[in-house]
Amino acid sequence: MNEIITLDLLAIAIVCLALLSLAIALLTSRKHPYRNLRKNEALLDAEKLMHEAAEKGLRLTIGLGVNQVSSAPAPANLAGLPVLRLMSRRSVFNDQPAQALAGDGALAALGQLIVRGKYQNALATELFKPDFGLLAGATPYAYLAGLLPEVNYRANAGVFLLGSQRPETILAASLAEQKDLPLVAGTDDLSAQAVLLATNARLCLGEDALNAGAALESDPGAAASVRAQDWLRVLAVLGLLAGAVLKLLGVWQ
Amino acid sequence: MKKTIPILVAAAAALFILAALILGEPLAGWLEIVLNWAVIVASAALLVAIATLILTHLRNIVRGKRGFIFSIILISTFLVSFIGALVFGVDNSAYLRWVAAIQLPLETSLLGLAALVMTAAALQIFRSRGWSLLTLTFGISALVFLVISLGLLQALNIPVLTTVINYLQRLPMIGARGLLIGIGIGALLMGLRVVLGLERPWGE
Repeated sequence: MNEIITLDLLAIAIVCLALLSLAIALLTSRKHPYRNLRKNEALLDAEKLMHEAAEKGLRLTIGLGVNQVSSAPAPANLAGLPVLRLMSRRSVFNDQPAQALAGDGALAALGQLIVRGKYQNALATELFKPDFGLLAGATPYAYLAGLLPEVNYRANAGVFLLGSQRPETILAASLAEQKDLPLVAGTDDLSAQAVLLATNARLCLGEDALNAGAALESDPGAAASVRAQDWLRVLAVLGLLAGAVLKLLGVWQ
Repeated sequence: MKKTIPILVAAAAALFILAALILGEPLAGWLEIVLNWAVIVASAALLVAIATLILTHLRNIVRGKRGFIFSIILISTFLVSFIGALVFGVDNSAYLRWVAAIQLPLETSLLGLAALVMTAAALQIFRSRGWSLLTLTFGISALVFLVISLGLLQALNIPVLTTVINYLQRLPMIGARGLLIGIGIGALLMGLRVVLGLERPWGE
């Protein structure tokens, strides 16, 4: 019982610390949120890819991931949404608008909401079609089965696989490789990260996949979050080192 | 107002769930109710997504779009399984057996295919990513852990070798923990951004 209370208190302390770091990062970098920010190269390539697709009049396809845990999207599921937001904004008047595919109902609805919003902002609602954001499948394999034909689409300029992806996504990555399509991937699943490393995907490792808004300079909140993450990571490293030393000294069992 | 209400609802729901998880017993009954609401909302979203998918494929069929034959297959299988569930019920053993008889072989074959592609990709890593410290480490560790997983070295029962193998087997866990700590911190901050209204997944 005591152990549970200690763990709860520790969890509350971590949440408070994260909140504090986020607040400090927001306040200290509010004028220049993206200055001196650590950026992921894969996501910087993503931006180039969006420009190239627009120039060539080709389409970009994004797989937003599959829901692995519960009925509501996990934080990692939201990782692809900032990219979809930017991608849709840039492709409103393109010959081939961006195509989003989700492996979860709520995520598919969110994706469609974002795409529709971009068309509304551009005063071009008549160009919007509901199939720009689709449910690929409600289970992981159904998602994969729905994703593969879209990766195989003849007018694709590139493929993005962001969010909770499973190791089987390698089938989509391999298809993109065969078709010579650039692929940008980022996932919270360790096995999926490992298998995607074996392809030619431009990969976001670890938590970088969750910070697309910061790398694409489209979300000051995400930029503050990257700074806060860096500070918390340093604290985690110091905590681990302190724990190891205390254990070695026999102070902490 | 249109933008504020979703933020307030999301923030209130997130704060309530956090409070209920921390306080436990006093809010347990309410937590169940709120989680049921979440399940209902998520199911409604799934229904909307399925409706959009069906309408898109119907349009493909009507327009005779390239590959419309797959749209016909999708809609007919959806209708058969949907009507089957309505008539027999989702717990009906015959219905479940019928669905499993189609779903399992398909999923297993996809899994088998994925395993083959993974093997091929692992062998081709040096071609796709070139010779670097990362690819070399990847290749060597894959090979080492394949050999260890065979269990032949453990069967030799040499104490020193067993100690080395035990040490090596801990290494992936250490690496994974490092990545998981990073992902955990990232997910925590993403959640906090949603609670504070800084991240609006539903926003345009």
